[in-house]
This record gives sequence, structure tokens and C-alpha cells, in this order.
Amino acid sequence: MEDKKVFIEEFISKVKDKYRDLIIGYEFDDEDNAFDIWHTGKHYESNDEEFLSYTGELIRDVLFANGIFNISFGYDYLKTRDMGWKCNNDSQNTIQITKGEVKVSIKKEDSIPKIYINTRILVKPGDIIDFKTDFIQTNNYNKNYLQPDCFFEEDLDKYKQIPNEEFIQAA
Amino acid sequence: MLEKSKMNLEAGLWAKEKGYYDIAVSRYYYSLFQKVITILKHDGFYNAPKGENNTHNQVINDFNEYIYKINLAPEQIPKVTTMHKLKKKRNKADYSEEKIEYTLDFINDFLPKYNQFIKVIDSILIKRGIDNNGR
Repeated sequence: MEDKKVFIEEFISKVKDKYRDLIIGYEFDDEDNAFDIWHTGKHYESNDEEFLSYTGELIRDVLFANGIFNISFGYDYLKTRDMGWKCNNDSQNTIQITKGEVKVSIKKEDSIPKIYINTRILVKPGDIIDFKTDFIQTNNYNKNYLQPDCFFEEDLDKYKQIPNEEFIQAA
Repeated sequence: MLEKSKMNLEAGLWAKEKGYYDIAVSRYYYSLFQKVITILKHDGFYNAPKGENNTHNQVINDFNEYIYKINLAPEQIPKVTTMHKLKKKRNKADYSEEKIEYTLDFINDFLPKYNQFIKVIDSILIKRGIDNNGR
């Protein structure tokens, strides 16, 4: 299994390189004897042919070509929901909300510090009390931002999102 | 086999209308699974599963190998590599004390994956000229 993990991680790394707003991970499921590769990009999976093509090529060339067929790959609604309040990187900034603390990370590219929110963050209307940071230009932040492709109709009145607009330029 | 698949789908649709989402998930899954078996058998990729516990896993893994060997278009591959995930949901539907919830399990998780998967499967069936009796 260890030798297969190398390829699973290579696959994940290549997806992350291209889709930096995506959280993607894997678990080995003993019951199914299979690698469960999950991600948080529902909008990619349902609408983005380029994403499907890119990940399909990687599944073929990195996993299948190396004899790894005991896999599943796809968006995970429950993980995405449960990760709603978490980001997975260094925490130099904090968005304060009433029901938790959301951390965002700093990435340096071309020597310009940029702030990148690693995940789509679900918040209920009215939950956001403030958006505190020394770095982010808060005018890029729109707490009423809504991405209808991310949720089914019945959810639209329940959730609103903080956008993960690519990179938010540092002030 | 495809006739059974069709009946399972009809049962799934009925269950969905009634709000019996555990039954819907279970029947939808079997409808799909039986189509997968039909294709594997038709193209000579079906291996009789060894041991009861491995039945589904082996078919799923064989199907993944099959789509590699037939050189399925890359953009179609992620749509049909979700079967272990669908199976887990079916396990919950059939064996767990917890019920399948409409928003959490069915409409946001199971159904989009099922719909993507079934479109690819149906297109393979059409290309193979397999009719509803699996011939």
C-alpha cells in the first residue's frame, strides 16, 4: 500500500498545483480496500470541463497507468461542510465570526505577499460580525457574495459565502 | 440484468417521490451497479467475485480498470470514479441506524454523482448497442 500512496500523493499534489483554492485529501478505506480521494470543489466537478479533463488525465496517467484501480475521486459534501470553519495553513489573519474562527493563510508570490483563503467558507446570514485583518483589503470582501452553483436551491436561503476570490491582493 | 436495473430505477424513483431516501439510494445504486456489470460482461471484463464481501469492491475496481483499457475520454473519467463513494452511501442506506438525509446525503452528495455516472454508463451502453435485455 505504501508504494501506492506515492502515486496518490503525486496525483493530489498535481491537482493542488493547478487548483489552489481546492482542498483535496485522501483516506485509505480498510473496509473497501480503496483510496478515497475527496475534494471541496463542487463547482469544478459539476461545471468545469477543464477540471474534469485535467483530473481525468491525471487519474489515467498517474493512477491507472501505475495499476492503481482501487480508488474513488470526487467532491465530498460532508467534508466541505465540516471544514467550513477551517483553513489548513499558517494563520496570520483571522476572520472573526460568531460561530468560530476562520483562519486564512499568507502566500508569497513574486515577493508580494498575498492572502489566499484556502476554502469556501459557509456562513449563515448574520453570522459574520467582523472581518479583521491587517493585510487584506477589506473592500474585496463582500459578505453577501453568493455562489449559486455551489448549492442547490433549497440551500440558497440558508447559506452565504465568503468568496475565495483567487488571491486577494495585500494592501 | 438491464431489466433488473430498470426495475430498480423505477423503485428508486418511487421511493424518492415518497421521501424514502434510504430506499431510493439503495435502488439507484443497484440500478447503476447492474448496468456496470452488464457492460463488463458484454466486453469480457467481468470476473466472478471471490468471496461475498468483495463482490462490489471487485466489480468497482474492475470497472476502473475497464475504463482505463477502453481509453475513456479524460473528462468522463472523474464522473465514473465515484462508485466507492456511492457504495458507501448505499451501505449507510441499507445497514446504518442513521437515515439518509435529503439535503446532506441525497440531494447534495449521492444524486449529483449518480446523475453524472449514469450519463456516461448509458452512453457506453448505447455505443455497445446493448438493449434492455442486456444482449
